[in-house]
Amino acid sequence: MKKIFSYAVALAFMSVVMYGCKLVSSEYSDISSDLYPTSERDARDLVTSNVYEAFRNDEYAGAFNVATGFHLLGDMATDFGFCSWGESNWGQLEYANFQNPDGARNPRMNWAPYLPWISKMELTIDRIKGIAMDETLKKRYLAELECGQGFMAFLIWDFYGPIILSDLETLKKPQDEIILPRQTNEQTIAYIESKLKAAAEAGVLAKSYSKENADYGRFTEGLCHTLLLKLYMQTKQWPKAIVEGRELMKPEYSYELVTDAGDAGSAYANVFSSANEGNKETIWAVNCLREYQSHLWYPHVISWGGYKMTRIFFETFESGDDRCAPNVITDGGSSQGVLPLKYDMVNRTSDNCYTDWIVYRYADVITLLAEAIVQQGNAVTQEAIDLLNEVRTRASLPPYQMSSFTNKDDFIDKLLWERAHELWYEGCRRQDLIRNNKYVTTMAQKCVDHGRTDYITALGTNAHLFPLPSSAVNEGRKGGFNYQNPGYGD
Amino acid sequence: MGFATQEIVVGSQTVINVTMLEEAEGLDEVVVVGYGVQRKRDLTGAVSSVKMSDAPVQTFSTVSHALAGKAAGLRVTQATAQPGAGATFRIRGQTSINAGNDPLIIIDGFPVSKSSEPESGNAYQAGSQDNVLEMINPNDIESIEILKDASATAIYGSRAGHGVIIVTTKRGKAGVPQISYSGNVAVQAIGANYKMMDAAEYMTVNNRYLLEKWRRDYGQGVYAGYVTAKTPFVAWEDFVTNPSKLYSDAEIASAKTTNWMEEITRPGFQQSHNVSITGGGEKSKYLASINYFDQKGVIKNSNMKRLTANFNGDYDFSQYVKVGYSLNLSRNYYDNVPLGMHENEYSGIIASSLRFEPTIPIRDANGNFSESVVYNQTPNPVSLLEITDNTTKDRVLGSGYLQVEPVKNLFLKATLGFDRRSAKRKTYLPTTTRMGRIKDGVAAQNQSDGMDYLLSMTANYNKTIDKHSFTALLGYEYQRFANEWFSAGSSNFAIDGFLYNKLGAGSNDKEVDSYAGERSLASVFGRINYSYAGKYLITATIRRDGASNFNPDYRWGNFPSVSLAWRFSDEEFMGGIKHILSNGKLRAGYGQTGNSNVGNRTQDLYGPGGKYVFGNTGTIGVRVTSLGNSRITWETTSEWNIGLDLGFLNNRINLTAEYYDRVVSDLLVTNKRLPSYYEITSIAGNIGATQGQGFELTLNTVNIKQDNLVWTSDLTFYTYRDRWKERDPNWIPSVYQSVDDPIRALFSYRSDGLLKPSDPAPAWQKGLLPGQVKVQNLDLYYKDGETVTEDILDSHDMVMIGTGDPKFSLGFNNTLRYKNFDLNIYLYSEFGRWREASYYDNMISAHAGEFNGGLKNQSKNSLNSWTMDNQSATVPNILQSATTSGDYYMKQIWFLRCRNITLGYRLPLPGNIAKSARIYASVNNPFVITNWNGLDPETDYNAPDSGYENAGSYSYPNVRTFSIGLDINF
Repeated sequence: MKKIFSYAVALAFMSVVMYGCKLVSSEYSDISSDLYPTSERDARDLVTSNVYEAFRNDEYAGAFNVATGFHLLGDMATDFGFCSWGESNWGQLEYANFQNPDGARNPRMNWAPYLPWISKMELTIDRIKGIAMDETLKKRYLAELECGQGFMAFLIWDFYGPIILSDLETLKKPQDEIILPRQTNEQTIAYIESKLKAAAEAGVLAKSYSKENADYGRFTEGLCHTLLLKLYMQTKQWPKAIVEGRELMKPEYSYELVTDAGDAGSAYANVFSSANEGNKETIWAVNCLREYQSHLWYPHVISWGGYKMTRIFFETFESGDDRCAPNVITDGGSSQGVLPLKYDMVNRTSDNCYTDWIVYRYADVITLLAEAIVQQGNAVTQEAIDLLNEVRTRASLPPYQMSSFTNKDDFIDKLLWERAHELWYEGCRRQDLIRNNKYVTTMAQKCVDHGRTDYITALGTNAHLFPLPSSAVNEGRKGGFNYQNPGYGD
Repeated sequence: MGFATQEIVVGSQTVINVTMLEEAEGLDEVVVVGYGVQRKRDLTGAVSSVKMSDAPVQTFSTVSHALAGKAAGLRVTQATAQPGAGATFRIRGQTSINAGNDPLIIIDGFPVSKSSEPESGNAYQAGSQDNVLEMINPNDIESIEILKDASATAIYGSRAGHGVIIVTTKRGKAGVPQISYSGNVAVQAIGANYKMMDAAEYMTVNNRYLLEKWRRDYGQGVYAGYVTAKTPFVAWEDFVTNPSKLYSDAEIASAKTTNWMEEITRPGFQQSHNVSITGGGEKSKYLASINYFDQKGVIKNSNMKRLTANFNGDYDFSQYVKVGYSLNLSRNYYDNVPLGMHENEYSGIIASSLRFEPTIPIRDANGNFSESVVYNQTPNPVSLLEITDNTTKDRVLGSGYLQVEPVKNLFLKATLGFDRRSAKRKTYLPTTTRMGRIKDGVAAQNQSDGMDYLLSMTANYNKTIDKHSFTALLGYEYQRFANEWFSAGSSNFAIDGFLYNKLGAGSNDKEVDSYAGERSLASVFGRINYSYAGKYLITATIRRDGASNFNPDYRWGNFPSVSLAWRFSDEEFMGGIKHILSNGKLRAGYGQTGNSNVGNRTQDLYGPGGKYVFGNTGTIGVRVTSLGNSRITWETTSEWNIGLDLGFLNNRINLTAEYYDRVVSDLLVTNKRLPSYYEITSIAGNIGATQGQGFELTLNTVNIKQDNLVWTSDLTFYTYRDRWKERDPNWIPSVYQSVDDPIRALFSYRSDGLLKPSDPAPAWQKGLLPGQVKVQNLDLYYKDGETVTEDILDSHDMVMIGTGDPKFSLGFNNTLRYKNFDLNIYLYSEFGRWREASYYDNMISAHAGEFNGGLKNQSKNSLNSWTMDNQSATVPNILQSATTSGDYYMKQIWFLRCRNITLGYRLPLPGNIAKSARIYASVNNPFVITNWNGLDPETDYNAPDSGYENAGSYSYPNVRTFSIGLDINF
């Protein structure tokens, strides 16, 4: 009996021990959505990671990184783009072999990683709306988010065409796994336009920031108008483009071309010199800083010997042009091409550069405006010539006169070459050629010039858009939609 | 040679005679099952038992080497041959998709977790380390049981979905103290080395490449009609001389080769010493053993040292109360070299050795490490030997138990245990390396700690009434798992001499991070065994598990099983053939087990995002890092098993056959894909079901049994098929996929040979040149009259080529004893697994391409490339193709490996010197016969399924080991 009693005690003891064995899971290094976001700081941090993180140029991350970013992929797929790292890696872009579904530098690669950012920003708008904080600041964050949505949608639309958009309620229920159709081209354009306009017209964004400002690097009204200008140019809405161009010339934005050479050797080189970061020509740049953001342009061009400008393109510069001088383009003697330095790249630790990476600048804006004016009036005007000459004379070239142009098309041709020589490796050339319906012929010529198969003429103007990845095509098929762009398989 | 445990009741005897009994092999052998032991004759489930005394374990550095090919249904894959490398264990295939296919490993009753492998803090990877069994000294192991079917594993419930491996270590034995020593020394040589081009060959291929390229660019010879000739025409002489690109015959004749692989390799060496002492009396028994293992790998700087100490004791307090403890201490030390599959600037030592030009000397004229000309991102292979990178892992596995027998045959047992794992990795990239120079030295330290607690309480009761015998088990178990890590690093050091010992001296890129998390698991379980007359056996188990990582509504799972066995050989009607059929048993079982191995996934989580800069200030944002799935629940494995055990001629021939059919439902994945526009495009979830079926055969025979000559052999055979059974309703397939595809299906285009000169390029492979791989345009898909454009090669043209699973596997172990000699030969093989291109096929000019006007080094196969002058070649055109080569290089491979040959001799020493002594010589991996043209059919990575961009197959070469050793018992 005594024995049984002692076992009963033992059993009771065990029960107590067992009661202490609770089922608990904790991840101390994450934040539960029950507790977040609540404060002004939370709003700030969410904007940082849901907007600006998307547009980084940080080593291999961000929409403007120099290995896989939008501008780089676009530039490689133009007449000047070349990389020495093998045709199997880069040939698809260099020779516009977009049909090939395999390959390391596949033009399809940016659809999947960047499409979700638009939704991230939509949900972030919803998440910070309810936070009790300074209302003006909140409005500015919301405007930055809308600018970010328009910006990202523009980048995706430029390369892939219509996007997929979802309403907020659907976004909040990912477990429903609803497959949506792609928007129409008109809907996508309207979305980009409305987002950028909403941000620009909110009245809370700065026109522009000086480098000293603590908010330098954030989106501005100037950026919104630049993006609108580019959207109107690509959709050939010349009157609207002219309005945006003229808006950006207003003194309150304080944009102007860099005209002093500084220590850079030429005014053109000084645009990209590390001593002249945040210059007044810069409309928006990825703000770089050691330990936070650094780009790899230097190694891709110099120390790893990858990126080149084709010799055939290099030979199109007029003699005396500052923009092909050895301080911006070095001839390393390679038969594959010349080295497109552009940046002085002195502010760096070995391969990592900390000089702000210019995404859009004023020289681009005024030459687009010149093009729009001529296209709109269907005639060359002195105003357009003056705008073009601003950029041209800055590069130490003689100005054009009205008599320099035989007709409107001649002006457009010369303007496109001016822009090509001014804006190489700045993400403009592909748009310029597409807008003027010269992309296919230019790339077909590039293939012939380099003894390569001409893949692009079979695609025709379908090549103005890159194909979607097969993962997206499969998703569309599941939902009963044909996602793929015309002319491409999956 | 096995020895049975004898317990001798001392009683009133004054002299105790202890003799070593050779194990009575056969049906009375005791097999460890979950929470207890059973006689082999009473088993109802599928259990394979490997007694380590069967294997010449002394020559195995790890347990996994000893297990490969030993048990039917257990596939042991050695990922790499580097010192201390881990192995993957797969019991009955791999039917989980994303929640892990690792079996549960139990060491002396303790379910052990993997220890973590701290990151390097730089861009390099250390390859693979054994993280589960690294603390076990193979000499300490008594037996390893492999519980295969769900009826055997269901007692372990939620963690047993992929079988259970039970490791039982030796325990103290009563008697006068016995001291034994075993030791061996071994040398290692590379089994097969990479066949890369030497300098002269490299120059030759370079010249051929240039000529072919010129022909292509200007539409010469066979290329006329395939390309638009480049204009203006440049004659061959001008093309190659301006600037000069060709190697002259004199240069080729006098070319000096730097054999980079030779520069980074050496003969390997390994030694192992083990001392153990065991003894005690009737009431207290103890064992202590200590082991030292030291290996210097065949790649310079890859070293491993292991020190383990194992103590255990069992004490009888009274007739009814027993206590005992086990303590296992281990330290593993590794010197790491950069390995892994990355290329370019992230190349490890093997990747860079294979791709660096053989024409370049190790050091340049200034005495600095030379740089690659064609791709100067590639680090100089020898420079990577300057890196200091080491990992120290300490592990303490301790447990104690108290067992009470309150009434006869009722045993109450409580066990408390812990498993503490700590690992630290320290790395320094000096300025003599490329990566180090970029940042003026990069140092990092990375530490991780894990602690598991176990509380287990069981009650065991057995009772025999007449012919009825019962065993009942009831238990409760609670486990808590806590993990954390911490890392710090910096760069830009004034001198290299600090290494990682003064992180504060690095003035830049200071990085610090940490993590902590925990979860727990609670279980109740029970088992009943009933047997009638030892002929009719039934076992039923149930386990109820609660896992903290699911929501309370979905957290509890029940895992039942039942199994039956009929020993028909004991039936009277079989009596007549008893002399032929000495044992016959039919078994059938059904059970369910689970898997909860996806981490904490029920909640939306925010975490730190990327960095950005505003003004002159850097900041770190916050974003949603994972979407929670509140409805996520157990993955459940339901399995049928039918087994037949037959013994003939007084069990000289024993045969076991098993057939199983398992279905894994509610498959858990962490990365279920969501439509592409959502904020986060993957979520953890349950996504359908897979099915695995297999057949296993084990045949043990005593071929010769004479006084002086005994020959035994063990043959294992198994085969399995893993398929999808059911998909998630939201599954988004590619057109070439079907619902019931094999799990590891390989899809590709069908290749169609090389394009013959003057044949037109297929319309779907525009730009294809003669000598390049043609693929078929199958267009398998037509939808609602919508025709697929004929000349596009896309996923409609892909088909399933095969599966990455072997068709069947064999193991064949032979032991011969003649007088004092013993000889063991152990072979195993695998057939019918599909693999993609080996390094030899892959690293050729057609794939490597041209970088900065030159070629990376390539396999010798590149010499056989198709050119206009070598049109009968089967290796494709030396120029890169713009399209895929489809399945051109895929092949179904097989191998037969001799794992080990050991010859031993028992020294006839007088008993007052030593009770027994044996010397042996052994060779591990003496040969492998295979149709694989890579380095090794087992240890080669399969590059394309690695998930890395540009991934190559840069495996640590497999080794051949020659050793001699001594075992002695005093």
